[in-house]
Amino acid sequence: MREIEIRPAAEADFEAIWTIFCAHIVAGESYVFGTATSREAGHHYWLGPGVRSFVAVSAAGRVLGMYRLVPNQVGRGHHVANASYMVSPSAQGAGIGRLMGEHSLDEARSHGYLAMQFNHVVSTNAAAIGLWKKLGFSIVGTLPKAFRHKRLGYVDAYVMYQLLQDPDHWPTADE
Amino acid sequence: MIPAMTEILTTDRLRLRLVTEDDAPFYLALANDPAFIEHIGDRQLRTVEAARRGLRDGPIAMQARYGHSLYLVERLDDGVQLGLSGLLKRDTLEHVDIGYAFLSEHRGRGYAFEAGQAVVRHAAALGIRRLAAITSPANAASIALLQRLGLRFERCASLAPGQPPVNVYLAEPDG
Repeated sequence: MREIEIRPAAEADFEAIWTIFCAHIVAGESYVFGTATSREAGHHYWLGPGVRSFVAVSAAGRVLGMYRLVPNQVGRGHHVANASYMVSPSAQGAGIGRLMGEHSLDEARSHGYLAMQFNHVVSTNAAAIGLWKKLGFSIVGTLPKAFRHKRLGYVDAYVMYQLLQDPDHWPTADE
Repeated sequence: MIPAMTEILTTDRLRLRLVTEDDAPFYLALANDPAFIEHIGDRQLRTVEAARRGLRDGPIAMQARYGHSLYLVERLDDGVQLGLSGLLKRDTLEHVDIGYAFLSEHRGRGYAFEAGQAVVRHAAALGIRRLAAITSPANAASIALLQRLGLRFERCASLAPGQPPVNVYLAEPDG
């Protein structure tokens, strides 16, 4: 791992982001997006209003991966963050996911989120599940056959969750 | 003089004609243009002889087999060779697709759009009912051009196992 920078995503990163997004869409093994997901929908997902997104960039300036951080719910669920991560197929195994995962937890804490939830971690994605467990997440629920895997057919998906701060020190829940 | 029978189309500023093996020096320059290598791929053509073989096995063979192929785009005024534009049939794609590549020094003058419009009309004249295009997800200029030519995003795809993802665009039926 050398000189990988994580910085806020900019409009100029979109072509690289879309290329990585397409690779995951085509693979059909880790995200629910189908192959008809449009470039505009991709733009909205990664760079749309209210989306806090970051890119992991090599020393040479190449985008190796990206993640987005959003509230998992509105209003009374708004204190829980949700995040999605994608790594370029050519950069997998280089620890980019871990760097982005750690960065996203710091980022979530610094923005006052009190917990983080992943809604749909594909159960066959062992690398991701192992990483999220190392970073403090637990599987809190199993969605039977909730993901239609391109190679494996219907497989389970997990909801993963962790508190980001000791609830004894959470701000008061009053309005 | 170019024999009239090799001419396929003319536009206000351009002539599109059949490629011959004698276009190898031009093809060598085009295939090694940095934008060609970035967005289309490195054809590994390093000598005029290799480029000649590439033309023979590529557009020339395709023209003989399907009655259409990539055409050489020349400027009417002075005969300068600008790029390639035309109709391909790939084993990996159901529909005939429009392809194009122009030397970097001739980009930004609307040549690709002018040639592309003529090629779209030519496809209709040949009875091609559904015209496709594929582009690298990162090639914003190409995507903008396809949209101006009336094609719409269809899907992210990988045309062969292990190949990087492409974006497939389709013209409206009979459009």
